[in-house]
Amino acid sequence: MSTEAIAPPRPGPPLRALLRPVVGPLVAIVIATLVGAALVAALGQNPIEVYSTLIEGGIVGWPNLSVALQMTTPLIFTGLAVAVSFHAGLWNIGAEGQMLVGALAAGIVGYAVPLPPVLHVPACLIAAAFGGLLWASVPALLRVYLNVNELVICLMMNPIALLATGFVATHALKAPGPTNKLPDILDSAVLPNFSLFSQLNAGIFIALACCVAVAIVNAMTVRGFEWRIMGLSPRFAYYGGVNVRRNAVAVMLISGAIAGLGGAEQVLGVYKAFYDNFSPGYGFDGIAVAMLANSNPIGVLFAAFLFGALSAGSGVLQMMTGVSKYLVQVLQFIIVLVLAAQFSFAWLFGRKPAKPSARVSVARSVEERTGTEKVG
Amino acid sequence: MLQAIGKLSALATIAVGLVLGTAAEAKIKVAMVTSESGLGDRSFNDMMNEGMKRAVKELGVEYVVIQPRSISEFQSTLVRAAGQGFDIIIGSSFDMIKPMQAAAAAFPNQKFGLVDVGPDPIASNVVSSVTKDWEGSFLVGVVAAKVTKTGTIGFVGGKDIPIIHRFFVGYFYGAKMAKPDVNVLESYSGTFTDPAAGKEYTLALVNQKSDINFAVAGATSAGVIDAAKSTNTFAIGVDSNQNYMAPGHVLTSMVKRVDTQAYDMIKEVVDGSFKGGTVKYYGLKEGGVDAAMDQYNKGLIPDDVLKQIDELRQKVISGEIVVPNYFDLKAGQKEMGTPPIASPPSVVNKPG
Repeated sequence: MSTEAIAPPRPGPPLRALLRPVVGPLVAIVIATLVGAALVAALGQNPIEVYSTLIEGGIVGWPNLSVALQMTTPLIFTGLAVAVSFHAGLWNIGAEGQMLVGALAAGIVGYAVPLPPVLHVPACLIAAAFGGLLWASVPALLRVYLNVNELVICLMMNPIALLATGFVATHALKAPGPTNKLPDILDSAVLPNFSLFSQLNAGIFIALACCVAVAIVNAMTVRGFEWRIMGLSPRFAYYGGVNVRRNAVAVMLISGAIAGLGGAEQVLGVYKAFYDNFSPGYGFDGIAVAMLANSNPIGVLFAAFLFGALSAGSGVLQMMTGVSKYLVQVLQFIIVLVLAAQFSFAWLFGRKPAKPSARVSVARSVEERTGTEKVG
Repeated sequence: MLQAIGKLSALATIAVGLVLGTAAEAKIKVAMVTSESGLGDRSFNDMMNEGMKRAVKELGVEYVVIQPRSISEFQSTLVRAAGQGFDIIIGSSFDMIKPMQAAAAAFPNQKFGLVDVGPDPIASNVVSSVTKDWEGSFLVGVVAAKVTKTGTIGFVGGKDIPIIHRFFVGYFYGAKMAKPDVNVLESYSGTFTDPAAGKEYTLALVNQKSDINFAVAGATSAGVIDAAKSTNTFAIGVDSNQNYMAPGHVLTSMVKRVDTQAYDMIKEVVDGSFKGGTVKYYGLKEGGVDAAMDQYNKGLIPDDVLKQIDELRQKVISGEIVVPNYFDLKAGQKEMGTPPIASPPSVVNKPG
């Protein structure tokens, strides 16, 4: 999508240019829908009935919609975190771990540090952002200063975060009782909920604000422009005078901080305490969200809502038809698969593959550079 | 077009339903809400699903399984299910207590059930159940005492906390009832999550001649079972049927029959005796606990021993034997249970 920005303006209807970034994701969604329908039919159910129940359970009526928005919120955070890094050609797939560490930080500040309500929530949010940032700093620094592939480090940091936070919740600071969790956070730290039907909470506004902020930075600041150039061609960025190394660290840290905020939303708004192993994989779903959104912060909102609504609809689908929860997960996986296939087709047939090759080359060129870089 | 067909067929279904409805009553609809581990866990969720299947067969109900992906989905799942016209919504796990209380308060006419939780009533429209794990532990204590060749059996608990002592006291009591001179070793690994510790503690017990060890330690139990395999001794599983984890080396498992508990809740709805706010206890008499027998431990326990075990089970059911509940014991109590036996040191030294 961002290719147009630097490519010389091409003749053609502007509508087409507007639609282009949406076509890929839509194709993926349509294909997933069709494959899903075939699966449902193979299971002996009526696909139309199943899909209409899924849509109804996902968005029709406030109870269902509020559940969809509850499920959407963490995906906005993790999707945005991943999208920020993808946008700059970096692979931060460690959002899961960064979210867990952020959640733990929010959980600790939430119960152990008594503060007036005006300060408590911000304090928890700052702690969470810092926790996520801290966890992301490991792959960021290793990446930039020791040429270690951030993909691998991020992936490895995820189980470490799960086990480390699990240790705190099951041993070090465990609340009494049969569940592995920290003590409940104080009332002053709670993000208010809106309805009985879901744990949708004020955290969704923080998520929206983050998306808008990233969109503004991307579109209107020099920093955002540099990140985009890095994402498109790090070599070009380097020769154009962009400090690739410093920017790469900054992007990773911001990405981690956003994921950490996602953890705070879960602790302060949904669980009201840090629970061991609370995430069913929001960080990994975030990768799919970022892919579907083509790393666009506003696109993240829509992609996250699609996945959130699918999860919400899945609950009703199970109530009404007995179709397993896995159907919805299969749909998500097919979407990701189709998107990945698109990238590789583009590569195969030599079309402009937008991002992925750029991502690979940033890895390479940052590697080349870190040893020899002289320009600051 | 398709929609029209759909609508027509829906109308037809309703019409047929109305006609049949006059002949037979509408089926009772049940929703089962799993804990976050979902179906396929070879544990509570799968077992409860078995209870549902039994209710379909014997009571002619309909049921659906709803599987939330995480604890954060419990409340929305319960509340949305409450709007769908189910006759009863049944859940499990301690983490569902608060969500169910919220849902029950918002839908006072909806019946709920919650299996295997604590003795406190949940809400005025919720029936909950407590498993008398001490009676189940009694039963496997009997099995262990009857099968041991060395005359020494062991116990590996998780943390050294009262609820785990309750298992030990039942186990100890059962073993002594079956064979008064049996030696029962007591140990606590201090963790519910560390299989390596479970293995270490079990090896230590085996070194002290114990050849059957009862594991009540969550994930630590896997290490106990592993140690049984490597030392060619027996382990006893807990909560769900763990016999499959090392066929031939898990003597039996003390299972909480959450299937029976869920089935009974449905049955109460069917026959109209459902009374919200009650807490039901499930011991041997109610079929709420058992020693698991399946293809994985077939032949490990001789038939005549099985018969003797059954005699003792019957005595508990008839009330002739009363298995002590650790929570009812006083600090320093010298004897416990009916008939009374000498308390183990951990009860004599019980902190007041």
